[in-house]
Amino acid sequence: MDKKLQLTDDILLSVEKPARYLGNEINVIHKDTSAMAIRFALCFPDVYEIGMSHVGLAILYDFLNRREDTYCERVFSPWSDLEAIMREKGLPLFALESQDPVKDFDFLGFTVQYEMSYTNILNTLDLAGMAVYSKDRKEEDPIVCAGGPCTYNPEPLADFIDFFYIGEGEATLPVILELYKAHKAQEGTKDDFLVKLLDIDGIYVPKFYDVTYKDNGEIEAFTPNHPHAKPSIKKQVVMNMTDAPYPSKPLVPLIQTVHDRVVLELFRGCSRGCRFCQAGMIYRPVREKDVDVLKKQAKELIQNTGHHEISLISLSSSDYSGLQELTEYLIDEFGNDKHVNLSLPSLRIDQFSLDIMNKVQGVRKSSITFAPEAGSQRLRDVINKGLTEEDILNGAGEAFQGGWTRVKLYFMLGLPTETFDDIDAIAKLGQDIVEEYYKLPKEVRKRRPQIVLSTSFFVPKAFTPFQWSPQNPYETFMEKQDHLNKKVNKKNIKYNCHDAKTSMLEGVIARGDRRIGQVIYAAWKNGATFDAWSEFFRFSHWDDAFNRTGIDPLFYTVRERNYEEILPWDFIDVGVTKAFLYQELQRANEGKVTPNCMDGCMNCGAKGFGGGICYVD
Amino acid sequence: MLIRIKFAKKGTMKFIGHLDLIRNFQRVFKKSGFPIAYSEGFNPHQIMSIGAPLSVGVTSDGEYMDVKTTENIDCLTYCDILNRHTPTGLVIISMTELPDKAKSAMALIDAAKYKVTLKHTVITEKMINKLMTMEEIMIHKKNKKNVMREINIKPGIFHMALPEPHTLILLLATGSHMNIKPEVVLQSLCEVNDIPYDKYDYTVHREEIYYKNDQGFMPLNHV
Repeated sequence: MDKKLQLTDDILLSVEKPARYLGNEINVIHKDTSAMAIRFALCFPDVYEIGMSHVGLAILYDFLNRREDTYCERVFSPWSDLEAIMREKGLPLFALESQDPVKDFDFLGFTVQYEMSYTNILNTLDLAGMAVYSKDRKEEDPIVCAGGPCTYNPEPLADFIDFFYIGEGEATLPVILELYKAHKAQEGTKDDFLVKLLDIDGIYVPKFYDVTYKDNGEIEAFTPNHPHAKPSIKKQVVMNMTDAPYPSKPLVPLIQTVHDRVVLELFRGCSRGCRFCQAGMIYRPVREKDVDVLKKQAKELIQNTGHHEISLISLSSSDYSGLQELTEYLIDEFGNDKHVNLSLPSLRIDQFSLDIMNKVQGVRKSSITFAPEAGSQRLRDVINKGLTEEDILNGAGEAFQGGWTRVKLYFMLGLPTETFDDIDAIAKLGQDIVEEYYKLPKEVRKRRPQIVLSTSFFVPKAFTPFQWSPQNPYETFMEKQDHLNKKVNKKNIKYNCHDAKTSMLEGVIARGDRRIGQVIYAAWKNGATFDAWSEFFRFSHWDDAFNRTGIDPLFYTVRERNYEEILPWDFIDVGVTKAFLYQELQRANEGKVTPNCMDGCMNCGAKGFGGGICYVD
Repeated sequence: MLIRIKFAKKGTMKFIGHLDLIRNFQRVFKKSGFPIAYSEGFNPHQIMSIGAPLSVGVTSDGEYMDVKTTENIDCLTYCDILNRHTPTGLVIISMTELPDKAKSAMALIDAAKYKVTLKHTVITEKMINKLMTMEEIMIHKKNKKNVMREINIKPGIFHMALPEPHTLILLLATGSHMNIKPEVVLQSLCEVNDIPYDKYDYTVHREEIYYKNDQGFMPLNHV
């Protein structure tokens, strides 16, 4: 009953939340490590509670452990208190299930979800006792791989990762594992294996490619240096979502995490085509799951976890064709005496969704959220956010009538073509919503409305129509924020401000090339870790890193790129073509909206995957 | 139906704090189909309460929780069912039906018995005598308002014994009117006898929780 632990009791009792490090959750998978052909350490490079709330990790954990020859275990970043002890005592980073050092594994795989986790990736390698740069790692070290949305531009991490997996893990991981098994039996070198990977679609091995640069800093050429290295790496996707494996017995942490709930994935992809949104482009085409399968999964998941909440997740859940049928079923099946709450993020606010929210038991009428992203209709058309002022005001009005008094709105500052008039429009929209509330008859206005405006700063991303666009410099971001802050009438409106330093760094990394690896390395050497956590983030670590490496962050952020320029990620084929993205950029500049994929095909290129929404009449 | 559940918290479960323990039980009840009653109102919650929260790091064979069910159940059967759904280290030992007007575990508790196992520190009978013959054992403790106060813990130490060289048995006041933790007693013992106190040199195990009646200290499931 007392399982082997890497950390002694006195260490565990001296750190915050020791349960992060035990690997004893409900539904945890234990296998005989000596009988495993492949040991895979799957790492979410952030703290346990964040990583455990990520459904992608749960899917891969389940998927890999379905194989009898493979044992997939989890690795998270130790919190700073434990890291200090590990470094002082020379304790190696370990995987949770077996508590064995990461160094003993065949693979160390990172899921890369946000740019500000990059220094944690380097820190993970170092804590595991491995060299941070791929070229310096030893033959016996695990093979280091990475996937996830950020790796669609793999170049900033190219020097640290042995191979990247572009696409959805379920699609090609089995091929890689079979290849590895055969390779291991033949006792080949790590290099032999990486060469074999070149024949597999979706795999990018950075060492087999060279980059040269022009005097002005742009890429001159990106060329394979191995005969088998493909000039273009094609994204791998699962076309049949209905039959795709999905964890029916997911891990249930013993401590509270960010999301303690059952998660139903309705579909992958998004048909809306917002021009700032990377996910909306790289996950195309839309592939739905059958509603009957979702009903069955919901039941199994509640049964196997004991959770009290079901959450429907997808990029835009309102677009799911079976939404009404599914929510009605879930309310009938789990509402009332079963005490399971339904949570519905990213819904369009209309009568239907308000009706559902009214029916759902246990929903405190806390707040209604809109994400107009831009204040003026002109700018919303530029970004192709299919939401009109009328939609927002009507939605808010209906919500007020339904008893909600709190409305949250999300915006971005610094979108392409933005002017101060567009920023003023954010404040005005907030005020218009307040007035919408005071249109209600006096007797139903029980308390004051509370409008919360939040802004983030626009970060242009690879594989979006704005991949060529300049990002605002730091000073402009802050000036715009101050401007808006002064415009907001604070009586019923709260405005949430941020600092723009991390947005600037995200901007550098998101469109970074291979040279940015040096900056990440230098920042990490300066002590940067947990950059996504404001209590740890120190811009000086990064500022110094730019100075030392001689790399100008503005080259990556404020510069407008030409269509002819070779972009660092051009060799990745996500299906959506560069020509389509550029056409979308031009339509943006003309303020022309592009229809939802449901309403008309614009031939973005995703049809090439041969399925999904592109083929629905 | 009111039920008192006796459970053990062992092994790695000792690292789970009180609020997380409650959350785990909520999921166990839900998963197992246990007919637990929910409170009325806008945000219904399971009707359950744990007698005396256990500190993180302490194991126990004698924890108690009162629950209300919506129907009469066979305690023996449900003991097995619940155990199939608990996390490793959390074990339901017994379930006892309570009379309708029973006092809650929380209101009932007077004392708890602890076994303290020391790794290196040597405690002798003489040392115990030295502490226990003192008229007052004063310690400094922060109250709820975070103000330091001096309190005499002597009346809260009901019994202290040394059955083996490295094992200390303590029967201490527990509950809402007086609550003495074993580490406080051990600290005082070390202080009085001029030996160093090391908080990582021992483990604490709670063996049982009691209420007091005419016959003496009674385990909480003695209804």
